[in-house]
Amino acid sequence: MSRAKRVMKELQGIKDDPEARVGLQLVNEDDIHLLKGSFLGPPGTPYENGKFVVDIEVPMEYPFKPPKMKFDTKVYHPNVSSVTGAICLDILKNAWSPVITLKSALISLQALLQSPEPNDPQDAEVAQHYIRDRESFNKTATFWTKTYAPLDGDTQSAPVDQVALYGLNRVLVEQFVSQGFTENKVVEVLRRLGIKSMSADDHENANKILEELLK
Amino acid sequence: MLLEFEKVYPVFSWSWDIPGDENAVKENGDEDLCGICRVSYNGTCPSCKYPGDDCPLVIGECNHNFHVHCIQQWLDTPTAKGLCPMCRQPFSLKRNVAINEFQMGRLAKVLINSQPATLNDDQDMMMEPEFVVR
Repeated sequence: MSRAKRVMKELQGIKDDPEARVGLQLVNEDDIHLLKGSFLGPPGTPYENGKFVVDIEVPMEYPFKPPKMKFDTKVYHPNVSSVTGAICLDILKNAWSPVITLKSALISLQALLQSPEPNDPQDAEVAQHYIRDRESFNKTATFWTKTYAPLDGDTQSAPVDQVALYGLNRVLVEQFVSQGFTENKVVEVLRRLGIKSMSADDHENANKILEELLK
Repeated sequence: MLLEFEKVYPVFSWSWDIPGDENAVKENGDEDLCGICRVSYNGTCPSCKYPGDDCPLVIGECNHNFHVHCIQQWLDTPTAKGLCPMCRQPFSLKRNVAINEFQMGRLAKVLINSQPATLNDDQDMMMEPEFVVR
């Protein structure tokens, strides 16, 4: 069986190359087809100081078919679904080649974090955020890294700051909270309407938000 | 002193004769591996038991080498589009190389079938066997 032999060789290869700083483990010792990979967020990006875990499913036909990969760690990135972790990357689909290994695929994911491709998005909302307001996008992505992918492994037990999580403008949220609506409700409505921030004189949107809040 | 040989045990070793490989510097003594199955060229593909003529090596026009069974299985998939897995150039066997001679017929059929597909290959991969280009 070509799949089992190759996966075993790949596991050993990653052990023999600690400098690549890529992790790969079987989820279950006697099942060769489910693995978890991990790598560090590239320095100089909002993913720096994060450890990202990837679920890997190796099909029967591997290496003639690509492994299925999706992020287990939540990632805020145009080419990764913020809900399911599904990844949009050509080499995992129709540009697959059997000489690509699990290690090189994981390194490609690391490179994807480094260079997002917003014109071929997996998560349209995140991609719009990236295109329209890079600074705000970076803030949100950094917040997600700190919250969901902390290097020291302690996932925060404190409630997550929802305003930062969804990249909303704090002043905008406060504006409605001060009118007596709960923060949760305001966050929910803004997300539903797809509004992250707006100018102070945008009465049309302000009315739309109020209308939704009062429903 | 008179020596008498009772038995002689000859030991042979072999390896594929890969043109242009004589001077290749092997990285820390590593043997060259087939990129598809990650087994040495002189070993077998995962479905074979005996190395050598049972599981031959082929040399591509692009100088990328694979076990014939490995590259054949790859070229049989629609995602391959007839391309070398290493360099994504159309894969063909290098001419006038001794070890390719016996494999020409075997691969010719696969290669004809897998000429770079021009139709709808940009969308999701069509992995199902029935999609294999006729």
